Amino acid sequence: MEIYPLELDEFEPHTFFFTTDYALAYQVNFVPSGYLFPNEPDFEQHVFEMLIKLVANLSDKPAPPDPRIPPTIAAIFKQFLDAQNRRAIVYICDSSDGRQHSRARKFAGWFYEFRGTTYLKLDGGIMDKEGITYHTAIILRVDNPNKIRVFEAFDRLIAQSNDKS
Amino acid sequence: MILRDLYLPRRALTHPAHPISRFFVVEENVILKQIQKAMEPEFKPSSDRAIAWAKAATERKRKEEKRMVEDFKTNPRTQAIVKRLFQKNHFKDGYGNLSA
Repeated sequence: MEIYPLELDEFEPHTFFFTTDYALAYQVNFVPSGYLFPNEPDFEQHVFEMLIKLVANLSDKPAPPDPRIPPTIAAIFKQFLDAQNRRAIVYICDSSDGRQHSRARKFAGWFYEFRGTTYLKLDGGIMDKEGITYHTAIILRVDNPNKIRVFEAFDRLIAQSNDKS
Repeated sequence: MILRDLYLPRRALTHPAHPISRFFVVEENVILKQIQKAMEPEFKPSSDRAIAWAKAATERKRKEEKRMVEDFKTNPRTQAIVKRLFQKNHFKDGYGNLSA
């Protein structure tokens, strides 16, 4: 499936745009998130959170599922991670509307379809005391020199029980 | 294995007239419930630190997404990028109107 043309914002690093056949414009940002691993100065500067946002819509009609979006998102991921193999991307599914499970499933499906043998993903689930679950994942290149330490730090971050934290 | 072993005698013995039928039905239900429980995904409350991070990260994500939209509305540079991209698009019938 052909991906949508991408444009980078030359003045805002790590910001991508693409528009769709259904007249929607999306912005994808990779936001530096070193605060996640403050005790890991080696790789904290290479950790980013990914955000996808619909920023413009030229149509009044609801858009159907678009098969060109998943490969386009995958291409953005690849472009971003391939530019610097030390990078890691953290993704957390929005839980405000209760649809975090379907978002996590969709995201995982995209990842497994496009990962090839080059990318690794570690999933994490966090549940608060009210029973709300937060799905999160970290993705990096298989040749990331810090991959084991990044995975260990991520695992500590989302450690399940209070005993382990 | 357990289910199969249980199921075979049950088929033979669960006729309502058979005195032992009730025993097998009850036993099977108990075992089925145990299996069902064992196969459910396990969710237990996470550590306070993990919960605090998840909530902060979600809040931060919402704020950042809101900022992206607001910024786009007032940023001629990003609007120009999107306009260029839209001009390259061949919209599906009924979608998009660049003259609007």
